[in-house]
Order: sequence, then C-alpha cells, then structure tokens
Amino acid sequence: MTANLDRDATQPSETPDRSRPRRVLDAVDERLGIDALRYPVPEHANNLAWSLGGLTLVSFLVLLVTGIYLAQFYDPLPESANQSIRDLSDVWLGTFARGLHYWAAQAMYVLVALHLLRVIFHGSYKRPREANYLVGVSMFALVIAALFTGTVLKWDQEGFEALAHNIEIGELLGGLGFWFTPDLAGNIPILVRLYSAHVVLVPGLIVVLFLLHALLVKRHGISPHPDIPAAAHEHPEPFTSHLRRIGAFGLVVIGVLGILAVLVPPVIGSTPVEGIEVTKPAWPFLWMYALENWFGLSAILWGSGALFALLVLLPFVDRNPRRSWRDRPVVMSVAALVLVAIVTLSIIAIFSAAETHI
Amino acid sequence: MTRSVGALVAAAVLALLTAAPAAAHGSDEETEARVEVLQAIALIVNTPDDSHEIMEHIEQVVDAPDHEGVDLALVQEAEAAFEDGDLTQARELLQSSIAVSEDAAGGTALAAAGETGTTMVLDVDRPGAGIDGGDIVLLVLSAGAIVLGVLLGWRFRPADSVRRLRHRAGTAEGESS
Repeated sequence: MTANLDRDATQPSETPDRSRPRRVLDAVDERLGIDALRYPVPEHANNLAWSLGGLTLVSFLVLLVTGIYLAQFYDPLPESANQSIRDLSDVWLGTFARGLHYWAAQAMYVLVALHLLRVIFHGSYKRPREANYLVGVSMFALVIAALFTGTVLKWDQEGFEALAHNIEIGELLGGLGFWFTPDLAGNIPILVRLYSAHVVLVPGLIVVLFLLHALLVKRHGISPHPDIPAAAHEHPEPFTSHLRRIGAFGLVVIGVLGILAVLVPPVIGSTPVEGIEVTKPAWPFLWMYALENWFGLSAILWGSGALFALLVLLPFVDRNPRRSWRDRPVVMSVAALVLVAIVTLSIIAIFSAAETHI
Repeated sequence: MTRSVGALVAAAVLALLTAAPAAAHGSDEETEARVEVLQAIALIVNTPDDSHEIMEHIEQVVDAPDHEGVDLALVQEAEAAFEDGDLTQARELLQSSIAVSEDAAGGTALAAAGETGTTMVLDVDRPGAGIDGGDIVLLVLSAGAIVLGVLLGWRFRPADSVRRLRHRAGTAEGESS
C-alpha cells in the first residue's frame, strides 16, 4: 500500500505487451517529459509555409555544427585571420564545412525572411501573439547581426569595408554605439570582439530567444489559417508530426546546401587595406548600400531603423482582428511597397559601381 | 608679475595646443607612405583597370615628406613598371618596398583596435572549380539527402492539403448560412 502511494501518479503503467523501443521511450519520457512535445497542432501547420520557422532552425543547427568545426581552425587575430580561412583547404572537409556554413547562413537569412513574410501575410502576429512576434523580429535582427559579423570575420577587403561602415555608424550613434567602435578596448583588435560576438553572443541570444519563441508557440498554439477559421474543419496532429515533417524538409535543405557548398564554394577576398573602398557588401545589405550611395552613410542607419520600426510597430498599429490579406489592404500595401523597395534598391546596387563613402 | 605669468601660461597652453596636432600629424605621415603603398597594391589586386587611382597612390608615396618603412627606390621602380603596363612587376616591387617594421624588442607589432594587420596583400582566393573524388561523394550524399527528404516529406504529408481544408471550411460555412 505504502509502495503504491510512493509511486508517481504519472508513471506509466506496466503493460507486458509494450515493445522494447516503446518501453525505452516511456522511460526517457518519464524522466525528461518529452511527451510534452505531443501537444496538438492544426493540420495546416504541416505544410511548407508553416514549416519555414522550423527550417530556419535546421539552417541554424547546420551553422552551429559547421561553426564549431570551423572554430577549431580559425585564427581571429587580424594578422592571420584571412590566411587561416585559406588554410581550411588543407583541413579534412575544411572547404566543404566553410561552404556549408556560408550557404547555411544565406539559407537562414532567406528562410527567416520568408517566415516573417508568411507571418505578416497571414496576420499571425495578432493578439495574443504580439509578444512572440516581437521575439521573432528580434531573432531576425540577430540573424542579420550574425551575417554581418560573419562577413567581417573573413577579414578580407569586403569584410573590412563592412567593418569600417559599422565603426562609422557606431560613431554616428554617439554613446549608444560605443560597443561598435574600437575605442571600447583600444588594445584589443575589434576583430577579436566581433569574433566573440559571432560565436557566443549572437548565437547564444538566438538560442535563448528561440526557446522563448517555442514556448510561446506552445502556449498560444500554432496560429490559425485565415481561410480555415474553425479548428473543427481540421484534424489536429501532434507537434511531433510537425517536427517529423520539418525533419523531412530539412533533409532537402541540407542536401541543397551540400550541393551548393561543393559546386559554388565561397570566395575569400584579398587581405584588407584601410582607406580604400573597392567592394560592395554581401547581398542582404545591398539595399542599404544603394541608400548610402544616394544619401550618405547615415542613410544606412535611417533605412534599417525605419524597417525595424515598421516591423516592431506592426502589431500595435494593425489591431484589425481579421487575418485574411484581403481584409488588410493597408498593411498588405505597405508590406508590398517595402518589399519592392528593398528588391529594387538591391538590384540598383548590383549594377552600380563600388563607391567611396568614408 | 601676474600679467607675465599669465602670458607664460597662455604661451605654454598655445604651444601645447599647436604641438600636439603637429606631433600627431607627423606620426600619421610616418605610416601614411606605407599605407599608400598597401592601398596601391590592394587596388592592383581588386581594381586593376583603375590605373588612374593606382598611379595616384604611387605618386602620393613618392611625394610624401616622410618615407619611413618604405624603400623609395623600389617604389620609383614600381612606378616605372606600372607606367610600362607591367602590373605584376609593379605589385612585386611595391610589396618589396614595405619591409615589416619591427619594434624595439625585435618582434612584429600586433594589430590593435581597428587596424588591419595586413603586411602583404594576398590575391582573391577563388576555390577551384574542379571536382575530385571526395566532392563526388559529397554530391552523392547531398543528392541522397534531397531524395530521402522528398520521400519522407511525401510519406509524412498531412491528410488534407490547405486547399482541401479551405474548401471544406467554405462548404461548411455555406451549409451553416
């Protein structure tokens, strides 16, 4: 009797017909609570558009694995950083790991941007998901920060010119930009500080925010499809089925990244020299470069600030409870305008010559 | 007396104010010739067609008042080579003209803050387009991941597509109204 009382009520009952794998899973679940992942999600969540966030996570995991490998061979001192990347060709799978890291970074940016567009298109940022939307926007900013710091770590002419812009913008921000300037620690190369940001600070914050994001998704449930308002029309499936489908899509993403890493390996530019501007930034930053060509350095700050201000304000401005894009003409028009502007500016920057700004 | 002390202080302050920038300026120019050489090489590497800009940097080295850390004779040879259109020779001579400056302890000074640490401008490195056996293995594995992913994606597909769910919701709404 006492023994029975001591047993946890959640402990699975002993049934002799359970298979060995099932018993192992039950034992693990009893201790780690993984069964909590089997919460019900609507059927529409298992489609590609609703899996973009999960695929962003797959890219992030590829970045973590390849990044840990690359960190074993990367030397963040300015004198040797560029050469240490070139030397990866002498390391087992070094060039492939760098290629995979590079293309996974591009994929992560594209996937997180598509995920954000999907959220805006379907009104998934609306009550009660405003806070989780803001967590997502913060993660988008961190992905851009990871891309930027990664660009600088190559320590080639392009990376150094990007850094020079970063420093100038840090100075434009006055006291707020102190971290971005070399003045914070004059005897430490800023490259070393950016390296620490790239491998610890930025991914660490992404992990923390991701956990919060995932917990809030569980708390609020996956957002409804605007055209399928009643859950009664869908057969709910466990979240683990959603994860399984993301795993399948993730294999496709990894395969594509692998092919790109082999066939289109990333270039490393010449060792950097200060005082000249002969390169253009990585493609995600091209739209800012076009703005800078027209309006000067501060336009980078105002342009990116305006974009993020729009993103942050969106759930507070658009309080219309309707989620369908047809019922939200203003938001859809502004979003389309911003998207067209970014694409147009990027194309203009591609066809314009490199200019000196600093 | 007070007036003369005041004048002395004012003179000292004035001297300090004017001397400090002069010293800083002199220090900048010590490294400026060397930086100009590096810039000329970087331009040869990155924008070899921009001969006007390259020549301007070489001329600025020659015209600089202070050539510390730069072998001017080699720069002048590089200038001649560049004028003859021999970019490779010009680049080599420019690179030779900047010996690595060593500090009093005999070691190389390490870059700090926002310094580049560049002593030699390396070429742009474009990994070879050739595919070896290892690459083929990686390509096969990647293609295998794609095929497996597509198959599993199909196997784990939801019972209803979004289109069907939408249609079902529309039909149900029509019936209820």
